[in-house]
Amino acid sequence: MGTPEAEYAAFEEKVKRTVYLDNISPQVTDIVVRTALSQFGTVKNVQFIPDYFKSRNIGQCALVEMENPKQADAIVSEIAQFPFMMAGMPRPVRACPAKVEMFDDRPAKPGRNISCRWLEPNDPDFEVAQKLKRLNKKHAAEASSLLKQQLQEEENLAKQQNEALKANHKKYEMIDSVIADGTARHLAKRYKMRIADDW
Amino acid sequence: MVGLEETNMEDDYFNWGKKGGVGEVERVQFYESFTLEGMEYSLYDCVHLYRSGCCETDIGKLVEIYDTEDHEKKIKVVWFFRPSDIHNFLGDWKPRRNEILLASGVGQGLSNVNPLEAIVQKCNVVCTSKDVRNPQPSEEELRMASYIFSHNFDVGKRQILENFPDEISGIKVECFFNMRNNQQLFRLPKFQTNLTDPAGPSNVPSKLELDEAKASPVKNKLKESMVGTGEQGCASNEMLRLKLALDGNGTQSARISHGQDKERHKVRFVDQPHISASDCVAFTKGDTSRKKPDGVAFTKGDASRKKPYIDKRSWFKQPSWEEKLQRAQDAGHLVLLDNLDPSYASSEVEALVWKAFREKVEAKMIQYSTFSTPQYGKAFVIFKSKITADRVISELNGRCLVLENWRPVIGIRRSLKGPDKTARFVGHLSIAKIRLQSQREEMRKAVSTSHCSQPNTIEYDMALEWCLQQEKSDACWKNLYEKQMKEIREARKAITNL
Repeated sequence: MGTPEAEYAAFEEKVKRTVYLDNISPQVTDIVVRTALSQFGTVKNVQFIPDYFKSRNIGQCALVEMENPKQADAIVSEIAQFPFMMAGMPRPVRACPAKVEMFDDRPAKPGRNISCRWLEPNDPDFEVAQKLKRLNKKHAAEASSLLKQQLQEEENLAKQQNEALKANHKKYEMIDSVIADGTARHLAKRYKMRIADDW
Repeated sequence: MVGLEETNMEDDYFNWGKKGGVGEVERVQFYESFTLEGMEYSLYDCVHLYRSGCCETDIGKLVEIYDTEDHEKKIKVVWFFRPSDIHNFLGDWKPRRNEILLASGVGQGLSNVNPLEAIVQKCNVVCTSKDVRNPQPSEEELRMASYIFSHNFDVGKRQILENFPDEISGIKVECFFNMRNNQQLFRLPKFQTNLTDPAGPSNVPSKLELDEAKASPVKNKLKESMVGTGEQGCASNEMLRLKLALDGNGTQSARISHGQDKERHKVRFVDQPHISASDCVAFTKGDTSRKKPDGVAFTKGDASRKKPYIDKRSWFKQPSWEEKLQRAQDAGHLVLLDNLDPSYASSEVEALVWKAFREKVEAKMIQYSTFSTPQYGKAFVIFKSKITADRVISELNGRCLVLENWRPVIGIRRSLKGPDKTARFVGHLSIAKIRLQSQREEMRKAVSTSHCSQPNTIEYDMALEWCLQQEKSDACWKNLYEKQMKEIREARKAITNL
């Protein structure tokens, strides 16, 4: 790993064999992720991306480094095809290929030189710069309101599903009980139906 | 005393180096050097010491290295002060950048005994005092120095002094000035009447050299450049006399430390002209007079005797980035830079801050994740002090720092949020909530394991509802980002000098 170029190339390789997961339940730990993804290959490293401005009720996200890019691709396509549950149902986790910007230990791109200059208030472009700064603020506000809206929708969906689940469960319980107390058998006799023994 | 256990203690993490004397009262074994995590430390090296709960390390000079009876590795250091440590006593004295002050006098704050594991790393401190006893540093050395000092701070009188006393903490001030490479230091224990110890003194210096070359090539190179600048800064008559006596063969010179009581020194030399690097030998005063190091109780431990080597390495590791962030935030040193190029690496942000503000900082890009805005890169920057952080923020507000791709950098303070216990993740329903009474074992397993959903389950249907919801959200985000990018492009059209 001598030259910056070689180092960067090695890093790019690492990006290629890494999968980004999100919508992970807060209860999920490093070990859970490892076991969950070890069915697709060898997990080399799991890193949860810290969220320093924790917005409430957001799932965790993590970078999972696999042994080779093939395994990483397999995870992405598999999880896209079948909803993948990790320590909770029915909301699935998502997987996508990792991006360079997701790594906090990314090396600097070789050959790039950072340049910057100061604009004084009397500079003709100063106002534009200020405007861009204000835009940044506005955009952050927009993003946070959209996030709020999204979280609300998710909450609604969860509630609705919970109701559905409850109703479903009630149905099963009713079936259970009519079988248990013999009602089902009585009814079957009455209507001259045969009940399979493997109930 | 070190005897049997010593072999167990040897690993790549820690090794004792050259032995020194044995304390007679406390039965401690002194050492001249040791290796910690592959780095060789010798007496009078300057080191960074980790203090828990502090984001800045303390800097001190190793003046004693010893192993207690209970095999606790201890070091005694004489402290250096950062100007901020003693800002109440600075008066009109203006410290230069990187300038620190050596402690002197008698009183609290002069020196301390610490666990050896508190050492974080070596610290390159160069003395720029014009004192005749101080070998003047070369340009190269000054450039390489992490810190410089030219003054001392008397902890008793609480004064900044330009002149150095003859002794600090009972040690000749020469030991605190710059060293010359040909002044290899050896502390000879009083009881040892013969210098040719089992290791063979002739081998020791060369071995030291080798190890050091491996461990710190830069420093070694630096040291090489020092050799040949010649002139040894020796002030005491004794030193001069000894030097004269030895200059005949030019290979050996001696240095006396710790000595007011000259009659009691036993000075011996081994004439070994084949040693290429000349040695400088420091003799310690008899150990009988050694004071009990302050602040350390030599408890005759019992548990620790059985297990002499406790793995303390994790205790004094560099604090994690999260801890550093939290501390920096509490102290007001933390600034969030926004509107950076998202592709910047952390090192590039550090370079940028250096270019724009001439401040050495620690920076880290915030990792891009699900809810990061793709067009804005953000980074946390930890400044050395609150004042610098304030200055940077106000400069970024008052003026505009634009990057090459015309991004005006924004600097704000944003508070970190710790783990929120009340936060929950919606969308995970548990049957346990409904059916409390008979939750079967398999059921519990099914919840906690990970699996792909099969299409014939209710779970699958619900999962698809989530996927749909997610798609919808993604589309919203994409729209928003596109709109925002467009706004940025519009705003940038007005730039005259792109």
